[in-house]
Amino acid sequence: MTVFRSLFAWTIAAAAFHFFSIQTSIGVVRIELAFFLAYRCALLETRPWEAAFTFVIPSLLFDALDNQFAGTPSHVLVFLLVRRLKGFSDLSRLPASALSALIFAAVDRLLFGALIGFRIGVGPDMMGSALLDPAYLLTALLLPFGLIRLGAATGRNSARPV
Amino acid sequence: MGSDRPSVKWVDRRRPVSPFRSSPSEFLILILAATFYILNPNWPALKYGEIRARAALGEFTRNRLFGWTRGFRHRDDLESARSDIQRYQTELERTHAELRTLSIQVLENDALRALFLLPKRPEYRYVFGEVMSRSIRPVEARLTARVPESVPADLADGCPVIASVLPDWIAVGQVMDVKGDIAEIMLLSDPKSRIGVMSADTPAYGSALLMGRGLDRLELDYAAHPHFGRALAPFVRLVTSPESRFPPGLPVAELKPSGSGGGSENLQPSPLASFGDLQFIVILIPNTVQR
Repeated sequence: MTVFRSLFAWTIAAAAFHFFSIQTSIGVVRIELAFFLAYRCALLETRPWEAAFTFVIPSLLFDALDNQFAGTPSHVLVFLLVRRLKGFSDLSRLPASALSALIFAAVDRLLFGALIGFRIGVGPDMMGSALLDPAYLLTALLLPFGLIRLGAATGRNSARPV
Repeated sequence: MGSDRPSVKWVDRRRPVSPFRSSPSEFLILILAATFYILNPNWPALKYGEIRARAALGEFTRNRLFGWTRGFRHRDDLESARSDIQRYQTELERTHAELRTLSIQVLENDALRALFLLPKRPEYRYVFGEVMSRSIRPVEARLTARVPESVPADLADGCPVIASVLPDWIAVGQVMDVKGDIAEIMLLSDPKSRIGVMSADTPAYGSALLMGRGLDRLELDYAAHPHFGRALAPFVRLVTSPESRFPPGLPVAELKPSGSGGGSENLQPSPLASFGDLQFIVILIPNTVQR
């Protein structure tokens, strides 16, 4: 039941974050809650199905509102990547959390650009321009603070290198 | 004492414990995400619901949330009502005078002046649209516009969209989808957008393809039309060519020098209007069926 409670809460939060976005000349400025959740779920040791319910459903909602479904696969791939890399170094503490958030946001955008490009038939041409999304820069800059707030960076909940 | 002992009797402590535990759920969510990516299910109620909710929130904020301030100074007293009526009459006269001034100013408004300047093309009908929301991102450039309730039935995908930028009208994009009174418009800078353009000064050199690159970036592809490269010079205007679905001769973009070199490869088309600032658009509906 805890799993479903977090699912409802994060899905409603995702709708709110998508709704209260600001359109500027350099793109949409908003907090990409789906990417935030994917990164957080990858760092936190959750139950096997908790991560899936926590970030995939809000991510699909974000994608449905954006009218494309390339965001979720890229988030899932980043989720898998972070889960496999967090054993090598503790990504949940500063400064590794700040640096890795920026790196994984860039990786997420590159994957997203590639998937969008293959979808609309321009190949990998969109990878460069997808990197310039200000929403992901904002989210990556906020991620370490969000992780501290949510208890991931305290070391108690996070995976430690052996 | 025996109950305190762990059920696992022997743990191999010589080998490091892997911190990574793979779970079947992550592969299932990967399959789920891939399925959504491949099938690309489009649910219009969700897509347009957010736009409608945003418009409704704006109206609610204006009319309901702060609307009570209008009736705040209501009084039952007859005398005060009489003085109020006199005051309102004075206000009404002043407002009427202001309205007359404003209506003259509105007539001088740029958009309306351009509307009167627009050469009427008999092969098109015009539908006026008010921009409701914009999504101008590196990977897409879309507008949603509210069109009148009584839209013609043949307002369909692919209808050209223009906007007024004095002293003329420019091509802006084309209709992607119409749902009720909301039309989704793909701007020229959308990565999916491709239209045929030619140089306004030298149409004899033929056409080239103008492609969108996200945000407000455009790119010219004239590899298939090498003669077009000779027409390129700084500040040359590109106009729609006859083979595009736009009426021919509409201004689209202007070539601007980018970078240091002066060669034609450093000329970059830039849109004539800021797509993010568009307030009103006009959709052209062809009278004849165009294929």
